[in-house]
Amino acid sequence: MIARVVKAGVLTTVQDLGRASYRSQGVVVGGAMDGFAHRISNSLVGNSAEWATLEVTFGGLELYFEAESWIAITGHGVAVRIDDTEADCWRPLRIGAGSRLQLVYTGQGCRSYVAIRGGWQVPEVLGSYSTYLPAGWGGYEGRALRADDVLTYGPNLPPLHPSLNWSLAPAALPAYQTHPTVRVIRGPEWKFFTPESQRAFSSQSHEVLPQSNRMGYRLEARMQKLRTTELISTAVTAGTIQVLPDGNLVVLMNDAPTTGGYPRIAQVIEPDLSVMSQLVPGNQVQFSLLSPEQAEDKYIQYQEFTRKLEETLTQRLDPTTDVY
Amino acid sequence: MIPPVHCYILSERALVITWDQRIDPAIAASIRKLQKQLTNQPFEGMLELVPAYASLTVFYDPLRVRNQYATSNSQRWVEAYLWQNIEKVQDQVVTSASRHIEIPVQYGGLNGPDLPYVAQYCGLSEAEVIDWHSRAVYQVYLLGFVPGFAYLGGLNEKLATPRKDTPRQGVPAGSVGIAGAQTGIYPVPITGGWQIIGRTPLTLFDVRENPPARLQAGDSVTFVPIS
Repeated sequence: MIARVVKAGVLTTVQDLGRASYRSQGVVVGGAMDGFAHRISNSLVGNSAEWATLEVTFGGLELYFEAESWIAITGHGVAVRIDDTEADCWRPLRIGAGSRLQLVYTGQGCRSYVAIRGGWQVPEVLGSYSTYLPAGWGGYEGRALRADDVLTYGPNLPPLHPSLNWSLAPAALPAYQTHPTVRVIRGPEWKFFTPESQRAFSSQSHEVLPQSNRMGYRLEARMQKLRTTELISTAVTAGTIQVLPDGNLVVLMNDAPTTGGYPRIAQVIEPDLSVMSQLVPGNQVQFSLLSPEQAEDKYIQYQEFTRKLEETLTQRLDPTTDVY
Repeated sequence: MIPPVHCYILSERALVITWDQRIDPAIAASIRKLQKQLTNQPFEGMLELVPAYASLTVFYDPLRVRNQYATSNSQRWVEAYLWQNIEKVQDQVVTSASRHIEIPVQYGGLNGPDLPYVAQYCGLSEAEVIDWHSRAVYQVYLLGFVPGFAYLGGLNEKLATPRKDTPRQGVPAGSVGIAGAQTGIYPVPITGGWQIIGRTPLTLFDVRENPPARLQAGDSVTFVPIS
């Protein structure tokens, strides 16, 4: 089955959970910036977490569906319209044959995810469907979507029950905010910075600067080093906060290189990367410090919560159970 | 082997074993040794090993480690496991590069637009730059920066040239460049600030190959001038 792109928006790419096992080849991990929203959008239509979704930046996407389909929109920052009727995010949505889906940016948040029952079909590159724009691989012809592109999806899973009408409880969603507190652990080079800089790092708000993208978030700061030791490149990962030579911070995100040489002052815990990935320039972020043990406990809780939620959603969608 | 000095936490699911922070073939060989040991004796939940100049990063799944080894903290468990394995290979003799790769390079002209600048900056003739560059044996320390990009050690100091002030757009794949005291090859087309002195016709990164990168950490490399 196919869907036509009427309008593509500023940046819409095919993403999934990323290509995590090629770091030693210098291959960026990539994948959905808001991993939770990606996973849950898939669950809401009965797909596997690994299947491809569309990552829509600042809304603006318009799709035309030839056949009846089931979709789910998650993430933060769009109002959904199906043929001029408002629809909700974070729930399975039936879209009729010949219908038009529109994602309208609300002015807050950054990235939304469109999953379709059966999954968007694109070729796998190095074990992933995710688009890596700098090298022009993966996803839809290695590029962002454009008007008139034709997206295929399927295999044809049985349709969901037409009277299905429920949404995910708001309490289950990440705490998306324009001024969030994001939890971090101290980074390997934390001690490179003056006590004043360490205090400022965790007590002040840092403004998101315009040079932010899928590689990383630039944040305003004035970090000062105690020593000027040159570092040699070592591994970095999504959530690593490096200090740039001008004293500003960069929170590395999905498309960041696998290695880096700037001092790493802190590391955002993985459960908080969803909130991070929804920030836009002008937002403010504050960091709160956790111990490594606390960070691991939060990570485990987050993974167990997400897995349980996925299982619950899968069960609710199972046509053989009568929970509608 | 040279023993590592420290283990630190990068994230909730990555620990880093580090050596003295210097670029040293003996350290690189020791990292390779530990990498091999862990590849042969992986723990449940070990996902990926990423070598760098003087570190080996171990990515793992904390949930699987906790469940498999009945521990309440996977960081401590994985760290202990890593040190046990370091001890096992501690006394083993390390050998240097196992694989040698020759890279044919067309130096200068349209393939190497910055060769005249490098020659002028270093006070050498273009022929001398080519000669020094192709005479050395380089070692691959790590892949990073962009897919398949090999950080090579061993550039003759005579050829060290600073990066360009303004990065050049769309440098073609296979371009061989110099940046400071480093030399390397762009595996994919990219905007970059390296001084480009030549180009190889070899494909250095191919998503259909396994592994996709032609050069791997631990390889030794020489450049062979072709016309």
